Order: sequence, then C-alpha cells, then structure tokens
Amino acid sequence: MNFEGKKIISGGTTANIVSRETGKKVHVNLKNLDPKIPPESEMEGADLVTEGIITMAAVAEILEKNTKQDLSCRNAAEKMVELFLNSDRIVFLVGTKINDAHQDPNMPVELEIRRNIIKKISVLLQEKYLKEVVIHYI
Amino acid sequence: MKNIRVSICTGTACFVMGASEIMMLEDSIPEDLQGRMNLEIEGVSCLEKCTNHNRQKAPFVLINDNLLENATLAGVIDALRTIVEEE
Repeated sequence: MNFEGKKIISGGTTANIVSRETGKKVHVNLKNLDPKIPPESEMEGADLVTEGIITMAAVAEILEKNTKQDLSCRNAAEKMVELFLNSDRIVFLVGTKINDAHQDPNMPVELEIRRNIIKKISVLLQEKYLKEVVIHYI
Repeated sequence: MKNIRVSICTGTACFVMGASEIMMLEDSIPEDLQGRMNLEIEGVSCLEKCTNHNRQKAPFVLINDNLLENATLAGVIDALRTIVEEE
C-alpha cells in the first residue's frame, strides 16, 4: 500500500488478504448495480476495489473495442479503464495461485485464465494506448 | 422486531452462479415481510467458502451467521420469512 500512485485491488480474495494485512475493512457497494459486472468495493488507501476475472475480462473488452461509456452509470470495469488511461505507467502484481472454484465445469460461463487476460490488457495498453506496463508474477 | 443481517458474497464464483440476482434483495422484499424485521443487507468481497473442498455450492449467503449454500433470491426470502415467523 506504500506504492506511489493510484492503487487498484482486483479480486475478492486479494481484497481480503490486503484487508487482513492492513487492518482496513472492505465495504462492498450494493448501490447502482450492473447485472453483468460485480459491484465495486471501497477500502481506505485503495482507489478502486473490484471483483477479479469477470471485471478484468470486461476491461480488456472495453480497451479492445474502445467503446465510449455512459458516464452516469459507470461500473467497476469502466472505472478501472479510466484509471488505466489516466496513468502513464501501470504496474501489475499478479498472484499465481489457481482458484479451484473457477475450475468447476458446472460454471455457467467460461472464466478466462488470469495470466492470459493480464497479457491481453498489457498488450492493448502498450500498443493501442502507448502506456508503459510492468508485470510482476508473485 | 428481529434484527437480521444478510451478507451476500460478491466474489467471482458466487456472482456467476446467481449472487447478482440475490443482490437485488433490498428491492425484492415481499409486502408481507416489510416492516417486520430490522434487515441489514451487506455485500462481502469473498466469503472464501467456494475454495474449501466439502462440496458446498456457490452462491453463498450468510443470514445471521447461518450459511446458505446454493442460494437463490427466493431461498433467501424464504429464510427471512422463517426467521420472522418463528416467534
């Protein structure tokens, strides 16, 4: 949390880990819900707290299609895109533990593999939006 | 009037398995239950229940610390009704 710059926490478990280590509570905002994107949360010291893979997949799609968003009802993915585009240098700290629950074949949607989606976002940010991107796998 | 706290998991697995609908709970309370309980609804970033291997199924909802698995909006409302009516 000492990182100089804007901080985004993406992933429920990740938010819980940061909350556990910093003692700051996570508060999920259930207002202005978007049926497709999980709600954002708030945590002292973080600029944005979101769910993980669904939100990141939506971020990649927005960056790829360059779709203009209605600013009056912004979801967590749109807010993440805004933070990315307002930054010159983006550093990803990516956890590498596989989430067993996402491997369940009964899941109604196919969940992207975390590394693939981060790579896709990274390439888009660098090539399309001319950002400097660093990825650390931890 | 009973105090009831509903904690809805908003993590990935729960969201895709139906928690997105359960999050509409506040606007879905049937008329016959309105005003009969002090209901507090909160979202939780992840209840960490989907990763244990005891074959419990998302989505997960905590109702006064009782875990509801495979939860649905109708199931949560039924659980609220049970609590309200068990006098």
